[in-house]
Amino acid sequence: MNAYEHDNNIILDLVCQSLENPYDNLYLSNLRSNKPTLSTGEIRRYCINLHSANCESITLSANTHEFPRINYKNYNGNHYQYIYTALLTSPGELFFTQIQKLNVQTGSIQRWGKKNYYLGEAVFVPKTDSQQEDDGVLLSIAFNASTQLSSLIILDALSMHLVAEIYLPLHLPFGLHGNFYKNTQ
Amino acid sequence: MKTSFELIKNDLPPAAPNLSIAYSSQYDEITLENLRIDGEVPTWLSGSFVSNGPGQFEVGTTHFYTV
Repeated sequence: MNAYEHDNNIILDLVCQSLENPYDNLYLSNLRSNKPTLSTGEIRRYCINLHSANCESITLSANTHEFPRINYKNYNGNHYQYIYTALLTSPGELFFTQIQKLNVQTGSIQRWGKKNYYLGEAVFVPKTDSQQEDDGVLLSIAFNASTQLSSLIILDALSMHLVAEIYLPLHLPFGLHGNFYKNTQ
Repeated sequence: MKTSFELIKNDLPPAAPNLSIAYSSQYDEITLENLRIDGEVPTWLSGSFVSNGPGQFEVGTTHFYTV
């Protein structure tokens, strides 16, 4: 999700899976079953020493994650603090139920979820002229299993509180990735 | 070996009761205005949110095998 050079080390952060082939889980017969196996992993940091070429890894968050995002606009390739992921909070869940914000410097975690809601990738959009890395919003397309309809969730990335929910009168099939493109005027 | 884009004629198992719709096709291409909103959308947030993913899971009677 990000990589940068720091104190003679290359820091490389990614979601790591132990599965031989995570794409096997993308068969619809698996995803549509009552007990699907979702391809998720832990958030792992590799530190590669540029002098010794020694490589060490640590686990930053051992939960079951996918769809990692950061403030790419301002922090891609730079020293940074925050990773946003979709996660399963228990192994038996059918799809991702929470959005997690992880501070990779302190290890602190904030999460948001809503009953009966299944959440897609959370796309970070920085606030105009933001000074802080997490000053912005997260956009996630949710599926409400109660109403069988989709909605757009807007979270305040600073507090991880819900800012707004926009209800759609139809379902959107679970998506993969997305991006927000600001109007330029 | 199945590939991601392999199409087969197959009766897929029934979807799980509560997420079956989320893995079913959406044929409508619509423009919506005046949607119901809880809370307030930040005034600085103006633009286009684009999301990719499967929209349809079958062509006629032929079903996709994977997303």
